[in-house]
Amino acid sequence: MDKRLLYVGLIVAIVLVGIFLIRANQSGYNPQPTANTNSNSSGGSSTNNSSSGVPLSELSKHSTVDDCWVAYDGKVYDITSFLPNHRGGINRILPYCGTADEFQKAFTKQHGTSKVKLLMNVGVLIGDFDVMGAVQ
Amino acid sequence: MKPHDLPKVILRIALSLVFIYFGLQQVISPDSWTSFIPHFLTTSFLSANNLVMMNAFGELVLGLMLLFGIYTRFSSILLSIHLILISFSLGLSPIGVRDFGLAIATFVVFLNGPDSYCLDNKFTR
Repeated sequence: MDKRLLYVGLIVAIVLVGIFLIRANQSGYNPQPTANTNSNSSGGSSTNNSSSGVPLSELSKHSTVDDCWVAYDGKVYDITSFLPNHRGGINRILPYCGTADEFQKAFTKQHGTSKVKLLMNVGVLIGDFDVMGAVQ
Repeated sequence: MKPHDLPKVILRIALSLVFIYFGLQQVISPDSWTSFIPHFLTTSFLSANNLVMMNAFGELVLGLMLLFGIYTRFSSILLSIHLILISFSLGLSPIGVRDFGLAIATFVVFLNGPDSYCLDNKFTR
């Protein structure tokens, strides 16, 4: 057997272990939301929906570049202030402002779960998303 | 080492370090690279992030193979084709032109074949 194959196997193993260790070390995914509160919401028309949640009708009102709310994993976030800082450009997010399922699908497709923590950090937590309201 | 082998060794090692560096950058900060992934490649099962990680894995393995001179021609031609594809997908932009230049340099390593410092020589003698 060609001894070079052994070296290739060794390299593959080292790279795999290295990637795993780096990713494991960096993994900061926390399913518990750690976002800011809505005390400094830039939405301008924020409402206190903590008791009943934000219905889709309210969420969809915030769909502009100056007032962008999105729902992810049952929580509504105001990401207006983050829009100019999005690496992919504002136009990649703007179509999903004011949406729940559409945003979550697009977000997951593009980022997987790697940006969930970032979303929670940069987004201003508005409150729970009223899923039942969305279904109705 | 023969004197005329020195440029080949320098070129091979320098290029391999470039690939290893970019591979590591993709592992450390995949989010910075997702914008380079064409939309048609992403599916619901294969996010742009995962594609970056797969690309990083390939670049690290092939870069290390090139560094140590294991299957030098094989690794260099794969990396060259890889960079050619990337440069064409990026088009006539500063990054695209840079990658095209790197692809040609990597192709030169393929044309040169294993130099006197490659592990290939140790096993094929």
